[in-house]
Amino acid sequence: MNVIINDEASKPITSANPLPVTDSTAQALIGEAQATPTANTVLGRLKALLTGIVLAAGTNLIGKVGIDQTTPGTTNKVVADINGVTLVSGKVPVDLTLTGDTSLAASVEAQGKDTEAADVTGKPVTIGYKNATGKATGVTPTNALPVALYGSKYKQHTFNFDNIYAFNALPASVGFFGETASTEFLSWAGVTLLDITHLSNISFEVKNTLDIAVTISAALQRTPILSSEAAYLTLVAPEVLAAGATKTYTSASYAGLGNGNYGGHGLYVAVQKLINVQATSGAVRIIMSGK
Amino acid sequence: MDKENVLTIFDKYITNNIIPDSTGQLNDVAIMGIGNEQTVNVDFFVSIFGDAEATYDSLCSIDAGEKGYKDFFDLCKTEGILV
Repeated sequence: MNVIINDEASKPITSANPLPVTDSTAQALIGEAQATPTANTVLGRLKALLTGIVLAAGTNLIGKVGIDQTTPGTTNKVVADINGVTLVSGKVPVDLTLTGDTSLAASVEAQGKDTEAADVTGKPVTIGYKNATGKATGVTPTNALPVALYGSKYKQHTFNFDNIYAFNALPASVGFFGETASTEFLSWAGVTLLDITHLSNISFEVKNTLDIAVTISAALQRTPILSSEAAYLTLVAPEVLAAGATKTYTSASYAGLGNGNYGGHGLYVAVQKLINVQATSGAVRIIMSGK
Repeated sequence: MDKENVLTIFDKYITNNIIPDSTGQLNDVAIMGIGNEQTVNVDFFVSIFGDAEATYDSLCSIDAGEKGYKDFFDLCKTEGILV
């Protein structure tokens, strides 16, 4: 069966009368597919529509969006924040408050603790002794870091001879720590025996805050190995300590007596004042130190 | 003879030292060396000899052989500090 297709003029479509391949009227309405479609054509309207399109705000995901950060903060300013704190001028606020396991603080070690740190050439920390107003003294500037030093590895005992002026006559008894002072010291106005067991490198400071001079003498008590050895070694021959004066006596030459073969275990310090001279205030204080 | 006089006259024997008080507070204290390795707080010295004139005889009269400063004053006289 043959199908005959006619054109608008009822003439059969043949090779001599083919279908028209262009429609100038339709072309005019649709528009030509070119870079600049004619105005008021379908293509022209579509181009105009797409050129001026504005996407309305919504919740739909539209895919990856890029931000021009060629010059951050200028052409496309981006502002971020951390927990509500806005970051400005390139500064990042950091909260260093320790929470929870505070053992972290004990683990922090300053640089140079065990090894020599680099030389400080800029603004080194200056420290000085703390004075009464909390300022550093002896250094410049005075608002440098003030330091107060307390404690030492030395064992220290303090003995007071308050009311020494009461001893105008020989004390009735001078027994201390179950010991008895040597006869030599029995003639002194005040005497005390300091326990130096297990101490070496002994030193003692005598501070006379009386308003009169006193005479000081001191001897180490020891346990002789031989009967011919003396039981006392004189540390300080009698000497005058002026009113208000302080002097430190050291026994370096007897270092180790506290733990040595001699078994030294006592330090006698004797204090004498002039007979019939009465102090009106103060005391004689002896502060003994040893390792 | 007040403290300023003492600080001026005995200047060569005086040093400033950091000394803790009874509360542990460190204070700048003027200390005077009086020989034989003994030192005395200048304030204490003034409390004893504040009524004396700045002369050897006046100071020795207050010492009266009871305060232990005779040797120091002798030294000062020898060195021309006291007359």
